[in-house]
Amino acid sequence: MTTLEKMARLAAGGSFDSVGPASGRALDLAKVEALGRGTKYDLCTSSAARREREDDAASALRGGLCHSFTGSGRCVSLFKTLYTNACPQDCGYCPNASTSAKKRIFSYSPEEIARITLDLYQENRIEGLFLSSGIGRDENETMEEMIEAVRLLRTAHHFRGYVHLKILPGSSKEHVRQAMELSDRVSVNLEGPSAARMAELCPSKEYENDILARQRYIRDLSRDVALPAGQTTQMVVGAAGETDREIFDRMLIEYDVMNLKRVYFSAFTPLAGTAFADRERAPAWREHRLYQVDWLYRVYKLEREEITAAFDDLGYLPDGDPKVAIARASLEEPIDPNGASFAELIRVPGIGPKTARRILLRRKNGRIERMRDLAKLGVAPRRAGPFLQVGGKSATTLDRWGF
Amino acid sequence: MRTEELLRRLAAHRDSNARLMARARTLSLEEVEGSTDPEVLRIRRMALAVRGEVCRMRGFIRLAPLGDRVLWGRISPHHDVGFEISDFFARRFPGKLIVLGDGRRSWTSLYSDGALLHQEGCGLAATLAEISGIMDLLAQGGEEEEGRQVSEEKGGKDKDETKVEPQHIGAEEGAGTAAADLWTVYYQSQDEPRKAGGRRYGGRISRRALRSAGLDAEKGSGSAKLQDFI
Repeated sequence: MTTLEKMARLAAGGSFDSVGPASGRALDLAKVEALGRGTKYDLCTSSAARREREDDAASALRGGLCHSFTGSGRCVSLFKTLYTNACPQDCGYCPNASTSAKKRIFSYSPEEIARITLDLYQENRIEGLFLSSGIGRDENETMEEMIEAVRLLRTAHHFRGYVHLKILPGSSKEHVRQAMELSDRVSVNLEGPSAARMAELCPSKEYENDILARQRYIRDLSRDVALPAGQTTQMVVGAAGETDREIFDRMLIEYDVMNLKRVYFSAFTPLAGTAFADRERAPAWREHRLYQVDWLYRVYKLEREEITAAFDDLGYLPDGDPKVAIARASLEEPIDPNGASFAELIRVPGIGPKTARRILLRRKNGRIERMRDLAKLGVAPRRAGPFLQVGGKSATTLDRWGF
Repeated sequence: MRTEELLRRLAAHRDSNARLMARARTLSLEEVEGSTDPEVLRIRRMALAVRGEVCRMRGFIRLAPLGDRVLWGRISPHHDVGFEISDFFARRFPGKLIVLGDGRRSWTSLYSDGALLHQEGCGLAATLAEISGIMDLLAQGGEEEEGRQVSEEKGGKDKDETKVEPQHIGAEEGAGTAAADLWTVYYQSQDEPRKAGGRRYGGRISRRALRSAGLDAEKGSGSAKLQDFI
C-alpha cells in the first residue's frame, strides 16, 4: 500500500497524457439533440476490440460496456452523432434527405466532436465515439472533417477509447484508408439488399459504385491496415417491400465475400416529413427474427440450407423463434443428451453453445438421467423438452409438431 | 471462468468463507462448468455475482473531475471489488488519481509510469479533503521554490482548481453542469419509444445501481425537454 501523499505527489508531478481538462465553452444543445437524433436508427455496439497488446492496462481500454439504456432497452455505450445533417441524397426514409421537409441544418467542427467525446468519456458516460454524417456539400470534404475529428482525439488528446466511423458513400480510397488507420470499426450502410431495392429506397445512390465498391476497399485494405473491430453494415427492413429471404441472402454475401464482422438490421419507421411518411411501418419483431437468423448462422454455424427451413413460402420469417422451426424440420426423433454430439445439441431449442459444452463436460462424470440436471446446466426445459429424450422419456407436446 | 478468476471472484464475495474457498481450490475447470453438485453450483453463482457487480460498476459509475488531476465517483459495492474498479479507471486514465467510495469506505488508485498504486481510506469525503490538502501544499511549495514560473510549467494549474468544498462532495454527479445537460439532451435524443417493451430499461439497470451511480438523466427519462436547457 502506498501513502496518499506519495500518490498525490505523483499525480501532481506526472506528465499529463490522458484526456485534457474539460472546456467551459457552451455548446448549442439544439445541435446536440438534432445531430444525435439523426443517428437514432443507426445501430452499433462498442465491441470488445483492442488496438494494443492485451495486458492489464490494455484491458481497461477494451469496449463492450453498456453505460446506460434508453427506455426502449437499447444500450447506450457510445456518443452516437451525425457530423452534419445537410445531405443532397434523396433516401425516402431519411429525415435528412434533400426531399424531406425543410429542416434546420447543423454541423459540428472537428474540435467540438473531440471535446464532447472527451468530456463524456472522462465522466464514464460512454466508451467512445460513433460518427456518421449526411453528405454535406461534398462526401470527400465531409469525410475529411470527420477524419480530422478522430485524428484530433487520437493524436492531440491521446484518446484510446473506441471509435466507429461511417464511410460516406462515394468516399475516396485514401479517405477510407485514413479512417481505418484511426478507427476500431468502419462501416458503409447497405440500406437495401440489392441494387433494385436501393433504387426504390434512394434513387440517387449507386449500389455498386457508392456502396459495394467502398466495402471492397475496406476488405482489401484490412489486409494491411489493422481494424480491430472489423467492418459492419446496416440494412433497413421493410421500407422497399424486400423479403426476409432477400435480406438473408445479402447477409450471407456480406459475411462470406465481404468478410464483415456484423450485419445490423433496422425495422423501417415512417417519419413525418420524409418521402416514405405514408408507408406502413415494419413490425419490430421482424428485425428481431432477422437477428436470430443472423445469430444461428454466425454463432451456431448452421448451414444456409438448414436455416432456409425457417422461411415461409413467400420468403418471410414468421413471428416465432426460427430455431424452433429449424428443429421441427430437421430433428426427426428426440435426441439423447448422453450420446448427442456438440453439433446435435446446439440444434435443440433452449440449448446454446455454452450449455452444450457444459453437457459434454457433465457426461464425463456419468449419465444424465433427469431433466432437472440439464436445467442446472443451463438448459431451458420447456423449450428443449420436446426435442430431448432424457432417462428414456421425452416430453413430447403438440408444440413439438408445430400445432 | 478460469480457475484463478473463480478463486479471485469467490474471495471477493461477501458470503465467502474458508470452507468454500478450500472446496473451490480442489475444483478443475471442467468440474466448475459441468457439475450439478449444489455446492459447486453455489460457488459458480457466487463468482458470477461478483463478476456481474464489477461489470455493472464499471459501466454505471459516473466520474466527476476535481481539478485536473483527480476523478472521483460514488460506489457502494456489495462485494469486495472497490480496488478492482478504481484500478480499472486508473489504467484507463493514466496519471490521474481515481477516488471511489461512499460515506464509509474509499478506494484510491493511480497508474503512473507503468505501476499501479492504491490506498484504502475511510470515506469519500475524508479522502478527497485529504488529497485537496496535499495538492494545496504541493502547489504552495512549488510556488515558493519555483516562483512565478511554476504555474506555467504545470500547465497553468491553479491551486483553487483542486480545492474541495463540501458542496463538491455532496453534489449529485454534477447535476446542472454543462456536461450533465449535454448528456441529458443526447440521451433523450436516442430514445425510441416505439421499441419500448420486452427488456425495458428497468430490467437492465437496477434501482440500486441507478441510485448509487446517481444517474439523473436516466432516472428522469422522458421528463426533461430540450427547451429546459435552452
